[in-house]
Amino acid sequence: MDQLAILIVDDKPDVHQAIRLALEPHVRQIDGILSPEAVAAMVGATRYDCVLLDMNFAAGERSGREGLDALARIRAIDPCVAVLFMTAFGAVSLAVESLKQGADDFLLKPWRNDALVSAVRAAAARTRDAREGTTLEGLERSAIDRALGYHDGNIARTAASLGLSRGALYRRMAKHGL
Amino acid sequence: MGSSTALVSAAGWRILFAAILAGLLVRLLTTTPYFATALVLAAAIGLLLLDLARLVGRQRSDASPADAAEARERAKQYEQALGLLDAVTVALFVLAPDGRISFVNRAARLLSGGAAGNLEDVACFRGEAAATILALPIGGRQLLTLADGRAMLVWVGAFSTPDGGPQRLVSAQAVAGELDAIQIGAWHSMTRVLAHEMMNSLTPIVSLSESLIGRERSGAGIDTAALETIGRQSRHLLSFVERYRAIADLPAPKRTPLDPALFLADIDALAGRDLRARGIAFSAALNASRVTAQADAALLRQAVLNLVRNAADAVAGTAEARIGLACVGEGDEVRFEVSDNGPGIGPDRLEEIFVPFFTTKENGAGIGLTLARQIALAHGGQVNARRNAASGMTFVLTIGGQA
Repeated sequence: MDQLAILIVDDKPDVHQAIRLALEPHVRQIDGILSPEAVAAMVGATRYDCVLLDMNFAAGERSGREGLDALARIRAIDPCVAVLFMTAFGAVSLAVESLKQGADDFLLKPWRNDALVSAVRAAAARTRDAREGTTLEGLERSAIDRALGYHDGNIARTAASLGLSRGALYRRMAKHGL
Repeated sequence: MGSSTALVSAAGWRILFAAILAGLLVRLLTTTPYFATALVLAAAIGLLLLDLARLVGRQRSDASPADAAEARERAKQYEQALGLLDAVTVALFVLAPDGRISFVNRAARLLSGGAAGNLEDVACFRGEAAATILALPIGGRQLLTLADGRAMLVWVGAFSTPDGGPQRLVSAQAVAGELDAIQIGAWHSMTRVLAHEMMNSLTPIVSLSESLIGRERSGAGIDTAALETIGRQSRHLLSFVERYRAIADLPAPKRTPLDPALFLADIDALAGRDLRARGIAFSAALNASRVTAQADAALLRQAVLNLVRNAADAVAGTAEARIGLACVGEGDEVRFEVSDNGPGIGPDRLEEIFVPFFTTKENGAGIGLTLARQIALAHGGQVNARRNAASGMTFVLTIGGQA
């Protein structure tokens, strides 16, 4: 299955349990924290493919301030990881605000498991694109990788299509571990 | 100042001359028979006195322009008062002792659609409305539904003028819009809280049951923990509905005379020991005299206990936690004030805390304050919260009074 690592940030253990059980067959690693305090440390230690973030943590809180605050801290550490906001019915305007502030998508509670899985997959794809697209090295690596795949691993034709000598292509492949 | 000294000196000169002339006249008449000269002197004295009288008279009439200005000022004030009454959106009718309408403001003219001799002639009061208004005692208030379906709050007052005798003032205010707005506002805030609470409980139920079906199909076996969570969340929803019932089925109060001292002793017995055991200093103070208020003691106890328990939760993390209960009252109005020295509530939350099911506590039900307010309302009172100057909150439950 997909080699995905995701992080759940929600104050309700039951929500963690539900997400774990729903995503278990589809992802490699699921971490969870019950409060947004440690979110920066978690994101700093692991390169997640997707963060599922609740909007409100303290009881009675419905402003979404804590969620938006956590989003800003995640973005400061890892600008590439896709963040999926989870919000209960009735907070749609808040979810729209979160999108403006840099969340990638939001998931209405309660969710259908199919919707959860496809939202996480789409988020993970965006994370991968963002990670590859942000550095010159990443761009080069993905360009070589794609060209190799297109030419079925034929070095001569790949080098020709990229406008490189075979020696130059070998050096770059060695550098990127391809 | 200047004009009055001028008057004194001008009058003084005239009196001095008149006195000298009078002296000469007397001497002339007693020593000589010059009657013609005496006549001239007497005429001069007469003219001087006449002049003096005119001078004083003119000075008096100088005061009358001030009177005129005052009259103009009064007329202006009267105009302003009339303008003010016309600007008021409440319709005002003044009824003379014989029941005729003696004055209406602009709103009342609009309401009645022109001239009307009696209240019964006003189109929208036709039928029972006029009779109901006329039957209201002075100071009485009543919500009326008019012939055209509008809801109006009518109030009857009395005043008297020196020349007009006792008159009645009838004020009528359309309240439908306000009532609708309040109802819709309450409905919205409650729906928000309800939806949030229910969706949060339903989230794991919906997702876990789907996952379990998937596991069953793929032969992965039963996940007992997931079933337990579904059960727990379902029971949570059930208890939620039970709490809803507690608010909806509040019994009508059975009122008996309230004994504030006994009431405070009951509260102390029910809550005081528990609070002190938790390290919270609890004190109850009585400052009531000649209380005649009537209340359902059991319901009122529930309401005040809810306020005290709420305060106890608020000071849970406070050093030297303190809760004070004060009963202040006289006559038919009694106030219970519950104050704490906890962290307090943000100003943006002061009304939200009374919304059913709203809670800021983990495992809170969100009905304690709602019930307290419901009970107070059933007693014609209210519960309000305010932030203390130093720290913490004071909740004030009022029963009776002007309501």
